[in-house]
Amino acid sequence: MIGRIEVTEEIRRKIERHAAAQYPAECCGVLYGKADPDGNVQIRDAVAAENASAEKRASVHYSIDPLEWYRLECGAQKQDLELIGIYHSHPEHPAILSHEDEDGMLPGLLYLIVSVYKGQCAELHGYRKESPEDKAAECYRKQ
Amino acid sequence: MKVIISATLKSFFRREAEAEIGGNTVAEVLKNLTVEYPDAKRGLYDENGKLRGFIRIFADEEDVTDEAKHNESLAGVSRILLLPLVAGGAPTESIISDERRKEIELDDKDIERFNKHLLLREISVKGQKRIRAAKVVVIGAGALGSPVIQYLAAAGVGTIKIVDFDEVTLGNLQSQVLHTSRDVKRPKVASAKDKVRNIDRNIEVIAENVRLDADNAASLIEGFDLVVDCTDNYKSRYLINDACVLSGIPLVFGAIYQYEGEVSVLNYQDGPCLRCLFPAPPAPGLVPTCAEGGTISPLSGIIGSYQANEALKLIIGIGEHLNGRLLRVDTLGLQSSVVKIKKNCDCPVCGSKPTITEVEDFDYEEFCGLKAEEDEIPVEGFTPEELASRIDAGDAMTIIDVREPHERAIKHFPGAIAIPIGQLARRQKELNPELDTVFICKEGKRSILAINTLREAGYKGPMYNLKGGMDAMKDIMFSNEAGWL
Repeated sequence: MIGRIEVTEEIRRKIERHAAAQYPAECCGVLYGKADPDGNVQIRDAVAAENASAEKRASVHYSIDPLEWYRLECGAQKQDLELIGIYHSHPEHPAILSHEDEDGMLPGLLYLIVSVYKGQCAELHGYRKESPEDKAAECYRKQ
Repeated sequence: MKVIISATLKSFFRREAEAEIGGNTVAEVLKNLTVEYPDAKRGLYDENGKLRGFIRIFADEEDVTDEAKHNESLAGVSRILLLPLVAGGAPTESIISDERRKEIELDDKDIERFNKHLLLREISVKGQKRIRAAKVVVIGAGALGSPVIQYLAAAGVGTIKIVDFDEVTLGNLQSQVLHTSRDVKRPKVASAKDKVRNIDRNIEVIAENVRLDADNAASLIEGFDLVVDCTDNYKSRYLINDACVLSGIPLVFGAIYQYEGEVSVLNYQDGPCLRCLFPAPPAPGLVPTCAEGGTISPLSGIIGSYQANEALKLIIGIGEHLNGRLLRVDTLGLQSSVVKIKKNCDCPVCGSKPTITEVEDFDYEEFCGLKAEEDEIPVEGFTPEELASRIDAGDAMTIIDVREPHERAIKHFPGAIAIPIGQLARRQKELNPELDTVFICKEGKRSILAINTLREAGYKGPMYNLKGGMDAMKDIMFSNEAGWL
């Protein structure tokens, strides 16, 4: 069940700044906000996380240390928000889900992907899957 | 034991963030957890009962996700955390390094020649340089090799090695569009080399006019970035697969039969290999290779073009790949599908405890479990010459042709009774146990199977195999026929 997804200009810029700063490595971070039972998502903040992937692979891969993830979850709670999604960048690649992205996708979370070509951000796409057995579906797209 | 549940996994735990669960080990805690929260089973485990790849279990600060740690005592641990590992990656990564790409220069002619590639944002100059830097081995310059070699050359792959032992025959021209009628009787690699040189003189072509075997497989592919398997038999496919796994070189696999084809990318980024996909090949002789079975002319063009496309995508580092997946195309019914293939951790060559550590020649018959058992009576046979002289001498005997109708249509065996293997046991009354019975097929393998089938069905008469089958018989002339068989 996918409702309306709202990414404000401010949030979008914050993600793009992070992606451009980390280029040519992938950046990653989490999205704080509120989701209502109809699937509508309101993003209030984008919080950068450390890309825990080995340096050699960081241009094509990202991962967030599970314990850092837990700290980020607690951080959301303190602001009375929820961790509702993840963002990451695809340097020199389109903003589509890779196999690895899809296989590791946590159900119910919003995944925003921003493509970065030569340090310039291009598309921003959002994906989500509802349950572990489902296929991921595109739920947001901004050129 | 206090169990902290990540907010992202809460939906499987009645939206609770914390639980108090009994147990002295991780295994016990997990078991009790799934009893308390039945939904958790679906969230934590996949359909095979394995922990889902993104689940991480921590005992305080220590990662205890590995099953080996699940039975350790939790004494002194204050809490268990169930957390997700959030990870992902860009769609793909090129198999050609940036360093090698940077060594390549494109001149004005290249810009003109590869204009259509340069116009594509995903390829552009960087991708074209990677293509030029790439070194690819194509094994087999036949039906699949034809489109693969031509498209790789046209796309600008810098170094192409072509391996084939065969010569061009007239029968090859129906599907092997690399060769022309002027190339008949020339080595296929020589013909292929000419065609590549005609496309682009800047390409380095290495023609290897040899049969791939266990001894040369590893050295033939050494130092190359990618192997494209365009062979038409199981033995070569397994040798190529093993050599690629042991050398760490990705492999683009293709196969065709009649109207259907398959494509996959093997041994790429920890993906499965051929032995994960098909643990054992079909019994020898039971499934005709395409040399026997026939294929519609454009099929090899379709499947080979897919192989070339997959090869280029791996080289450029774009798009989705067929690693861990097999594309099946049915050109008669116009259906295609992609099937997922899992890596087998018990795989003898790419699994966690490999038993194959160098490219070994293997006995295909034994490999398929079809080799005659010790106590089984060996099958006696005639050479084509022996059979011909017996026929010429007018010896009384029964000849049974076990080939399929389409094979018999190509070359008829005079005086033979046609009985497909599947009907032999039921039709054994048509044989005279007082007379010698000779079984023939295309290569002399299915006929052995036929003899063993009849023995098992209780037939007691003398039975002989035509060694080498019709293929070996084709150069034998019968005096009474005054012509070629």
